[in-house]
Amino acid sequence: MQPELAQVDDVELLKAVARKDEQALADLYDRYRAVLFGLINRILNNREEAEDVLQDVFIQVWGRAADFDEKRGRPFTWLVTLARSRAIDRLRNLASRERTAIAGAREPTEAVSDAVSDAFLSEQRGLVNSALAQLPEEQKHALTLAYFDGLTQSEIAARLGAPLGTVKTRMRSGLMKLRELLGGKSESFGFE
Amino acid sequence: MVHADYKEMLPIHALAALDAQDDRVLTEHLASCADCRLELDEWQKVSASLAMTVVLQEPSKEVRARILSSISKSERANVVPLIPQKNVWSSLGSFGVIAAGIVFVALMISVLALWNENRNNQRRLAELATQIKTTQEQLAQQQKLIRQFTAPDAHMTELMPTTSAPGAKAMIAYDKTGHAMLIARGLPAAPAGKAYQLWYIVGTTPMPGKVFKMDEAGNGLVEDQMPTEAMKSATFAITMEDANGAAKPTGGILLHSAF
Repeated sequence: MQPELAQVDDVELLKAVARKDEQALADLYDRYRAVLFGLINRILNNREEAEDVLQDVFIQVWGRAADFDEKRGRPFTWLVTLARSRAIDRLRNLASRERTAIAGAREPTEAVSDAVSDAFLSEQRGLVNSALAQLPEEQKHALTLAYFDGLTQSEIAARLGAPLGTVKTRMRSGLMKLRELLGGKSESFGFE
Repeated sequence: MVHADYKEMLPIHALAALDAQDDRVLTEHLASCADCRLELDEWQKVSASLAMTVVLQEPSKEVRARILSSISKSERANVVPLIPQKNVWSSLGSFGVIAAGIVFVALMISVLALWNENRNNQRRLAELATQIKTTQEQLAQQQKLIRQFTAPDAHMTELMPTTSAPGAKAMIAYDKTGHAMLIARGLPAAPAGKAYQLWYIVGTTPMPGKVFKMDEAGNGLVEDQMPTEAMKSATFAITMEDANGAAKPTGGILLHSAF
């Protein structure tokens, strides 16, 4: 992320995009491409598919920027929700065999030096990773399977061989703990 | 299902991990529950924070270019053309405008033609009225002349031309009251400022009569009241004088009766 870009509020950028300001969309892309592409590729584990979804996401942002309601959340939350939703949709549209292959073949990806060097994102990532690390492993695992693998609560229960109620409790408890850990010090996440 | 049951589903819904049946039930509830919608927004913020844990990765440069190219194309496609696209109705509208224009022009031409014709007719009417008036006046004079010349007590005297007015003729008729009418032919039109004048010559004294001009047909007509002195015996003569007439003849005699 470029320093001058950080000075422009995300909300203003989205408003400009809603006014069909192409440069605003380019700025928004430059600011969040790495984290969104990282998220999408984490879900799909396929660069080509991930790039295709990333393109779809920003075209959707171009078309739906006027729908963004800043009272309901921050632009980052909106963008991430949009990107994850499209990625999960794409994932679920793939054949189950391919999904299994993707999940089984998941390998660590190489970080991007210039994106990681951004101080703001690094701080945010540090806070969340630190909070996530404080969760019990079974809660963290349940959240990871849901968030990144796009599994439903029943699919997670089946995958883990755990009762459905237990999986539901782990997921709820994990998110509540995460909110508690991030709530007091991360206004930048948009928590109240 | 009670409200607490929906609230328990909210965090899992924020992760998009509800089974289809639960997801459908909660979605229906959210449509009518602002409290749950508000709480869901909070859970989505927490859920979104998990995205921060991913390894940041750089997409290929082509992705950015494709996105910007795509939105530029979509904007161009959405631009309303300056020239409206033709459709059936706009074409009909255009034809209507053209037809209306043609009708308007034709109407204007007709109006101008009628106005011009009317103006010509009015001019002709005025000319005819003038001609009628002139004819009526001429007729009246001719009738008066006929009455004058055919009256039982009318005296008629012919005036003969001198060498100064070859071919000219004149006749004067007068009654016992001295009312006289003279008709002349063959005299040229008098120059500007000039007119022909009738003279009554009693003895050797010329007494002035009225002036007259020849009309376009070459006729000269004048109605006058003879001096009492000229009633018994007079010679009539015509000279060319100033348009207002003269007290004594200044020009040569053009026509005259027998001396």
